[in-house]
Amino acid sequence: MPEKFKFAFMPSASCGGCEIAIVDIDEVILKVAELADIVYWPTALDFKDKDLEAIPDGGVTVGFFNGAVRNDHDVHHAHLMRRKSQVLVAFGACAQMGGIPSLGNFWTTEEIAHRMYDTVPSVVNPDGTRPQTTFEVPEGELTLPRAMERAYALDQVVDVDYYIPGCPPQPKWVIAAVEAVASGELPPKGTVIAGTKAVCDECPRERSEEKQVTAFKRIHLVENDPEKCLLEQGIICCGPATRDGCEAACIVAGQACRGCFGPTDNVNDMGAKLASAIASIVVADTQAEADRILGQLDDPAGYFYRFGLAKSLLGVQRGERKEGDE
Amino acid sequence: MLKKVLQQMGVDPERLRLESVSASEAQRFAETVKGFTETIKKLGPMPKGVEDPAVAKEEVHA
Repeated sequence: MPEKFKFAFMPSASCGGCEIAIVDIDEVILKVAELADIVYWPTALDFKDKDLEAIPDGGVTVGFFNGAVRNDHDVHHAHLMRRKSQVLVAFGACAQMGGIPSLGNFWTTEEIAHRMYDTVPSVVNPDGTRPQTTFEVPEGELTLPRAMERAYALDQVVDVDYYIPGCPPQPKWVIAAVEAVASGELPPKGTVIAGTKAVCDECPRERSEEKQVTAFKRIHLVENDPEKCLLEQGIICCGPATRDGCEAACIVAGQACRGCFGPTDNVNDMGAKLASAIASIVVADTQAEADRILGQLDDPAGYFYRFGLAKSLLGVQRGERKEGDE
Repeated sequence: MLKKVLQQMGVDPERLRLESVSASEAQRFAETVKGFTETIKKLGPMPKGVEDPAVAKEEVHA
């Protein structure tokens, strides 16, 4: 038997869902274990940084990195994984495009800290105590990672070979990636391992040629017709701009697509594409009417960049924000 | 809606204007462009936010 592959799994600014996605491949995990040694997986086994550091550079066949890069320790982990891995995979929406943690990019780190430690109604902190990155104790100095000014996608920090999208990634694409490694038939660098079309192409709901929307509704406030396109019912669905490969799982379950697979190959900026898709289905005779209908969207930027704010072309500028802006 | 998106992204919505001008309305076209150019000149260059590539570079290569 040829020498076994070596896999490493690195979590960073993530919720843990990506780690669950790995075990979600069920019995295939046994095949993975046959094929590869897992040399680093701190979520599942007692690994420390030094275990990964002890591996020679390039000693990991495939490194899977999940989560956004939010603090300086994540940066260290990203560079470490890149150095040790022959192939580095951004695993899940956060590593691919910043994910939910990058929604924090709407605010400065100081604004987020102020909210968390001073103004949240359940917080009582009269002395304004904040976590410190260093603290002196008799035994020596204790340190904590420092939150950076924004969250980054993995490829904004280090070179990335492949992307497995999703929040969380779907078992069939995790298996497809492992099979590609096993067979040695790797796709071109930069490939997103999922579908190539839009979620609408996989969606079983019926849609008419002309979408005509005169009012937007939030999905939890209305009963939606399970047979009919959600957008046509005035419910915002990210399907038109989102890569397929999930078999429209959320939509089949009665929920709108939230865009976790990221943009399709021919979409450069997901938020811009969604803004254009949403604006073009509105039917209004006057500008005022169009403004009124579109004004029903409370948080368009947050909705259109829910999983990819870190990768938006414009980027949050903050510089021209005025007092009272959300 | 785009103006709202821009506002959320920290860009002054005044930087965006959408006008429809017919091919026969040369005068209006000229005035619209002139007016918008003046608005932009008055606003000046956009202040650098945290998306400043230099800041990003410093953070991720530390």
